[in-house]
Amino acid sequence: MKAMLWKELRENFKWALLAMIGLGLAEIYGLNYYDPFNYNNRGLTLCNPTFLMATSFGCAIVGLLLGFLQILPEQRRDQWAALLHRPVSRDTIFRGKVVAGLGLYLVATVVPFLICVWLAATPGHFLAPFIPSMVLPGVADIGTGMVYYFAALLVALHRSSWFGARTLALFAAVYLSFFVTSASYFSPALAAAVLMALVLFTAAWGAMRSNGPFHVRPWLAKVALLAAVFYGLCGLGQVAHMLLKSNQQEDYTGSQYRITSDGQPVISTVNNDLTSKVTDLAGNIINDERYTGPRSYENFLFLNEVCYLIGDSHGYDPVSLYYQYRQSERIVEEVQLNSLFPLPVSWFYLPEKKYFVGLSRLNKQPVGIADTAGFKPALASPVPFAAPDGFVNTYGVPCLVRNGDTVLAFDFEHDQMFQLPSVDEGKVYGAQLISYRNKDSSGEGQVIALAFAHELRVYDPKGNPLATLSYHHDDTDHYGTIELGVLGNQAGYLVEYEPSAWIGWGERNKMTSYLEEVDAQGNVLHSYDLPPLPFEMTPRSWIDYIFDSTRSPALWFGNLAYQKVGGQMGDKNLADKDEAAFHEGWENTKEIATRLILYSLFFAVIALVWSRRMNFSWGRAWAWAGFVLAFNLAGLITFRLVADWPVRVRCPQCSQKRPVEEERCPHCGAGWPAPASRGTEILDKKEEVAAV
Amino acid sequence: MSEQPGASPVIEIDHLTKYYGTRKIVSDISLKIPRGTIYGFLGRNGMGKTTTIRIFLGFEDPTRGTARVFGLDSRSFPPEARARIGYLPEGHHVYGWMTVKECGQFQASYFPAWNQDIFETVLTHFRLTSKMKAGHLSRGQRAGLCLALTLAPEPELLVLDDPALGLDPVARRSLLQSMLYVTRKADRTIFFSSHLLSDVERVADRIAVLDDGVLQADCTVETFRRQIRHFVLKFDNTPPAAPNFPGLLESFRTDRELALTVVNVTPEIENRLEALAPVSIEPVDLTLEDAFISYVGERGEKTFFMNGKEAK
Amino acid sequence: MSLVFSLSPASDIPIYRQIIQHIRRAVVQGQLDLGEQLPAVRVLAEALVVNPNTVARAYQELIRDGLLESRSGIGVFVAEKMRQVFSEDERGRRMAHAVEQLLYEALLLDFSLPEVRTYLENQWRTLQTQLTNRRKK
Repeated sequence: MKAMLWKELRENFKWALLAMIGLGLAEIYGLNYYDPFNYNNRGLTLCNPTFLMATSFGCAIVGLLLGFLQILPEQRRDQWAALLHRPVSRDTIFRGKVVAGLGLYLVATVVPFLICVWLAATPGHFLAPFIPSMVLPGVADIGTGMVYYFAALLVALHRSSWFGARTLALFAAVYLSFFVTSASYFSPALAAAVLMALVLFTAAWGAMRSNGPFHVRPWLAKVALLAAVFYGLCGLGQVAHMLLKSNQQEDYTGSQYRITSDGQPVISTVNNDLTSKVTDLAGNIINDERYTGPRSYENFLFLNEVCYLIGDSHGYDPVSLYYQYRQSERIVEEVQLNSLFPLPVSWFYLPEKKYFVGLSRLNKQPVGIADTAGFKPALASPVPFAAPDGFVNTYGVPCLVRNGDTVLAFDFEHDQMFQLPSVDEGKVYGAQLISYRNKDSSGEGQVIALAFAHELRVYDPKGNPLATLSYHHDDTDHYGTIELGVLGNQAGYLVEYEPSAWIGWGERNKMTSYLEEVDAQGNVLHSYDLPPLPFEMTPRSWIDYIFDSTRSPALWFGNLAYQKVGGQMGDKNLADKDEAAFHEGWENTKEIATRLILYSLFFAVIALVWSRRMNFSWGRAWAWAGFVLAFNLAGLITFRLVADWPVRVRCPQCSQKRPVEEERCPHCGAGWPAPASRGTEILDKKEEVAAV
Repeated sequence: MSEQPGASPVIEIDHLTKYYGTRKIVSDISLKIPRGTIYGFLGRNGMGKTTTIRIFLGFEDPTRGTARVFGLDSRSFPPEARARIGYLPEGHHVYGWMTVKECGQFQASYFPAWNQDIFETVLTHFRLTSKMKAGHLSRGQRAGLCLALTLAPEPELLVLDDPALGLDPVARRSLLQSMLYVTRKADRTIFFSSHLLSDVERVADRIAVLDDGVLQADCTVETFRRQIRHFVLKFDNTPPAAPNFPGLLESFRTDRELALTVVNVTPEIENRLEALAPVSIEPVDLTLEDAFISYVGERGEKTFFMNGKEAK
Repeated sequence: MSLVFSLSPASDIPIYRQIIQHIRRAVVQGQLDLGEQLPAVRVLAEALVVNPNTVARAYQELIRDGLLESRSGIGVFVAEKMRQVFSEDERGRRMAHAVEQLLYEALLLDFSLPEVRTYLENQWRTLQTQLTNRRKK
């Protein structure tokens, strides 16, 4: 083992070194590359989309390269036989290779990553604070790259045509990449990577052990190979789905309520060709160019949510997975100010630590913090806010923060903080900065709105009170999502009452919302009911039909069971999904379930017939049929690619095809004829040669 | 070197058949290699020699039939068994970045019975020093290195796949000498494939000839030579075409002569030749190489008429 | 003594027969004395780079012919007295064959019978002298 390790390390060290340098350069470039106009992904430093592209692609490529380089150059003709012809088991040889390969992989990927982490963590390099969990995406990518290493081993070791099980092993790694980059949390991403690594490792081990055939491999390796090919098909399917969908026009019609600048609620229906139709609440079409033309958005009013529930939270946990583990916005929110030129100090809110830090644009060092006591120097000990996660406004001036029952307003342009007056009863449920546009386009304005138990209070951006608007609906428990809009020039306000956030999706779609137009004193001028609009599900295209029909019953029904159990055990998310599947979407669920069972049965029968035609024993045939039944079309393709498909030639006796590996023909029972004698054979009995 | 009656053969191949896809590469071969023999494995390229070797060494699975070495099935060799087999694959592959010394150390770490003296002796024989880089060696030196690595563990069975390929005459001679040196001990067996018939003649006890995947001959070198005879029949005028009988390997007609190469001459065949009424029948001795070429070459008549067909 | 000679590898004469021919020539020419020991099978095989079985075979045949004799435990020696193992017919046949070879050559080279006779007598005399000289040593 030691000798193999030494050989592998010496042999491949230079590649690992090259990879390390290449990866390091790519990662450092990615770290430094910041695109201020990418509004979709404002990741900072180690969560920078360019950096993550370097880690995800880079580690994958390094893994692939090392895996291939360890096997392919040695597979030249008989050099592989020379390697295997040693008085040690193939397992030992495999182990030696893997330990060395993984070691080199980790050196090549971890070293540059650590350098980048050091760069990000040391103040003065980047205009962003460093939170330890920013390393998670990179770690996940390093784990994913390891999966590519094992995939490369499997591809190189498995003996079959390139366009079969071998390419699919690569797609299994691709499938994992999809999962890791789209997962919400880090733990499932890492767990999936570890699991897939184990699967591919075991499958590669099986390929090493066997001289080609499938059924002689250890059963664990067989399962692993089946899983690898299956996931490869999933990966291939995912890529195909992506490509097909991107070419397709989404055919949808969506209706929603909108409010005109005059304060009139209307129903706006947008077709997929972007033409829109506007009706009043009764359904009569309004033919007004202002509302249907290209610049219609100027003539609509937008309401902002001030709070999402009032009173008892009913166990509702605010959606903290609005951002994935890969997005740094989850742990660092950069304060966005609408100023014309950037300020000398950039401010960041840290949701986990619950205070602001400011970094100097010049030397990127921390220059101050802002906490409950206001603005302090950088090294002072911070007093965190009592705010719930993620509900801090970081757009506009001032930034509003809920600190227990008070609301603090931070003016980052002038480094000032003031407190907004609260009501006697105290409890604040939400705070929001609301922009509005004056009707004659004479400019924009902003107000601050605070939601209390019984009223909304409106202030100007400096904290001076403007209006108090009492709630005119008693049921604030159910209607706790309050949205506010400002009519131009602060002539009045629009208050909308929507179902509270803790109410489930099914319930919510049946509840009517209420809209009120109130004047500056809080008197209701108009009141509107907004019944729920018919919910149109996007019609399923043929692409979706195909992909839905080819889902594996084992996974699909398994997922349903998982949702049911999880929902029973208290996970709200799973309970929601369970409800959606079994109540609102019951028709859909039933339809998919039937389709899956039918298709799987069909393919299972095909597998059974094929197996018997290929002279598999009944036991094997039923086993494969069962497998295909559980995994549908993907199972059938896997079966076709992985099972030992016998080679068949015509029997010289009965002219039917018979497998070459069997001594007896399954049709006529004949053996194999000896090769025809040409009459030129020279065969003698072995003579004893006596030594002298 | 005597063979005890009843001693089990070192290699036992029993009705071995191998298909690649629907192509039959090896067809129902049965071969027993007794302990202590030097067995030559002959055949044209692509006839299944290397495949057979790979199968009985356990790198390929047979399609039908079995192969056993030391009585152990080739499909399930225990790793220790490989210490008793020295395998020199075709091509003389080495890890180019290793020095000669490192090659030896790497190999030695796997084989407990490593004999460093033998290793160094063979190296000296091929004029190799420990500091040389394996990747910089010439073909012949590489062969010497590979040979040293294979011989040093003193294996009971030595399997050489075309060991003299690409070697210069000096290296080839050294190879032969090393092979003979191995058989100092009576229980050592050598199984090698080769195209150099003169070398085969020097060292082999028995040969097996593979043609189109079928075992055509399995005999001593002497028997092989004896069974393949060449006759030149002289005629007064144009000689007749050769009669067709099994055993006719090839014939060649000139103006006045009919030359035939025949295997397994029987009195009946002799009668048929005499029935052609030639002026004389002259037997000609063939070299082993000529005999072999006739044996595995194309069958049939090769005519060559002088009159009227020469270019003017 | 050195029995090493150059084998013709790709020859129509089998190797063992070449060895036989060479030993016979050596005995006749006096390079090998009567009663002299021949190298062991393995030693000669190593020197000639051939399979020991081939050398063994050559020795065996020469023993059968009576030219060599085996003393168990010690080795193989040139026979003291070359026993005549052949029948009269066999002797005659072998002689006729050798004479035939000689005469073919003579006729091709266009020698007359008296010239052949002269050559024969001269060569016989030379050989005898060599042999006698060798044995004296």
